[in-house]
Amino acid sequence: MSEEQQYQGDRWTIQSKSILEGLGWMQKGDSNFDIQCKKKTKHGISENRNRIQPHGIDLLFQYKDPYAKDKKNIIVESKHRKWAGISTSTIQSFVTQVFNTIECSNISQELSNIDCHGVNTGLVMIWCNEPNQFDNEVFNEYLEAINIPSRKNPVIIYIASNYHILRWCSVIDSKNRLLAGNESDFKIYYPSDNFSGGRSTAVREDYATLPVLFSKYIFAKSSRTVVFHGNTQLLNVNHIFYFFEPSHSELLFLYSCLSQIQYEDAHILVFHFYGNVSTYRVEIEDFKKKIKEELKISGSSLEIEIKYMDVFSDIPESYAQQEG
Amino acid sequence: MQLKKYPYKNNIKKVVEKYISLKDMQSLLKPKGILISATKRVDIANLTKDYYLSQNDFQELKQLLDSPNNFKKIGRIILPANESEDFKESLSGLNGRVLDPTDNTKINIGIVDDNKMTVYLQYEEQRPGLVELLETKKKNIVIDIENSEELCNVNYSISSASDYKKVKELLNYIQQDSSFTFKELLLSDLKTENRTELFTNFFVFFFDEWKITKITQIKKKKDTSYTSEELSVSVSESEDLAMQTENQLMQEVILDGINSALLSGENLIENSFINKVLTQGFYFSMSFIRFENKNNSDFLDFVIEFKTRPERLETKIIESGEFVTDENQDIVEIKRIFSEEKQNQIIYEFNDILGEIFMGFSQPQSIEVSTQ
Repeated sequence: MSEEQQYQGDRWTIQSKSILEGLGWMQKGDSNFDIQCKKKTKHGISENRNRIQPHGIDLLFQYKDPYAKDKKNIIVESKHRKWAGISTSTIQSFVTQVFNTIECSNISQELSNIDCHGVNTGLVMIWCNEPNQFDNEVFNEYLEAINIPSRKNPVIIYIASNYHILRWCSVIDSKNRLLAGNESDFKIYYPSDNFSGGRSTAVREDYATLPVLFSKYIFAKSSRTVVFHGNTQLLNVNHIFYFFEPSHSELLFLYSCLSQIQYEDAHILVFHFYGNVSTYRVEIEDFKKKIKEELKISGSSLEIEIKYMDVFSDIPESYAQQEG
Repeated sequence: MQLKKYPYKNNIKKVVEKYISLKDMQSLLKPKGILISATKRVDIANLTKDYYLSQNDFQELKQLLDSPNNFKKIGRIILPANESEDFKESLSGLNGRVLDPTDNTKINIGIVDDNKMTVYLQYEEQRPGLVELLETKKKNIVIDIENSEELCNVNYSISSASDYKKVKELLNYIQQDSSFTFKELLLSDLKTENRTELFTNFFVFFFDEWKITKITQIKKKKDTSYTSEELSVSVSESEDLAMQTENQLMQEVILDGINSALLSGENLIENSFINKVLTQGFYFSMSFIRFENKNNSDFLDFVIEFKTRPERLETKIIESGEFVTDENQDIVEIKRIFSEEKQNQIIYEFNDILGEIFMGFSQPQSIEVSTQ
């Protein structure tokens, strides 16, 4: 590996860490550390060659699962490649690498020492450093061909590409703008499923979990301070960060979800759309009118706001600055 | 038909656990960047329920459900390619129109491009119910209109007997303003021997991607216009007395009173009884065919059926999946429902072949589009 490649790789690890911290995640231990391989034969290069090296971990994060209530430890591998260097086989090698690391992390004494007991989740952050050439459809085709090893104990590996990473940057940016303005107490919202026979209650947390980050909508709540005739009022604001084509049909489908989770229970409901959705301008407006009409009939005073997230073409430079 | 109401999380979990194969769920999540290694459906169900997915994602998921509703059944009506633009124009003019207020029959135009148009025909069907005296069920027919060089194929989905009638009503409605030469593949347009040849020629067709490995069911019907004199003449000219006696025995004793028969088994096409019966004025009207993919481990069971009154072509997939090697190194069938797009592609391809064979025997008559 050339010095430049090494530099770019380290820089991407720092940027990955900044992005995940921006999403509210807490890092465990340090960046770039090793754990012993406990399955040297299984993780060997070939049948006759046992593994000699330890497993390298770029980043380790932990958050509390809002539904399961236990701590989730996540092995994060950051990969930095040109578009031509991304293929099914390269992604497969990343997946195998993280899969093996997870198997040994799950029983690692080194990780137990820092209160990380049990690991079954990995996140591979694959950044194509030629963002203009990145093709999400082709990338998804690569993913479709990935072979997932079958294990009795479930293991889940998330693959984030430019597609997801730039969207996450936009969410962080929107949150920061809201907090820099007149909003406070911004939290990611995890709806309850009590009413459908589930056992989870609604929770608000500072962080967005992986299932949330790989969803089509992200729910969040905040408080907005407004001054009216000299009196300060705190308004409850419910946010929906929306990452899909906002067709009329899709928006009505989302709205049926909002009713289900009683998300109209606020002063303001803000839809944050991502990307160029001008094609759907008419459908969005009609949807807004339709909801307003329904709210009027039901006697609700909920206000609807439509906002558009800023779209980044590259990772903001500030994410490459390491604190401390 | 797309979901209108967002499903409850707990229901998503139940559906994934009970009605979708592990492999299908893994494949659905992969392009979304979610790779799950698990051996039990309950594990993948627990992990899946927390994602908030779009209506489009749920449509994909819904198509994977292990439910008879997810197997496609298709009927086809054809018209000359030079009439297709006028036909599409007429349909476009009906977009959003309620054709029949009594059952709320409504037409909506979906995808439109140069060669394809998708039309949704919705209506309500009322039937005696268990909870309610009369239950109303919303029905949806998807009509794909695709052009080939010479023909315009109107492929319509069938989920209940009344769907065909509704499609005919639509065509009837359109015929009020313009005249179109609608045709459909009716067995009655073929000679008795050609009816069976339609099947046998299909059985020996060289498909690009698929191969027929077995015929598991055949339904034979007697041509009501067939007379024993025809047999006597042909036999007396070409067969000896022993053969004549055998045919008479077959006709008078074994087949006496039989108008149709459903036969199940292996290699039915080579069965001597079936071959013999075909000389007695009987013809094939339905067949279950097992196809295996030449390039991968996929399989499917395809049914060609000519429904009665009139005996029109309907084709459907009734089973699909793939062959896998289990822990005992035995090859077993794992049931897997192909995507709607893939099912359509397969059925349309097979229907094209059936259509070509059919046209080789006869140009079918125009269909009557009355709703009676």
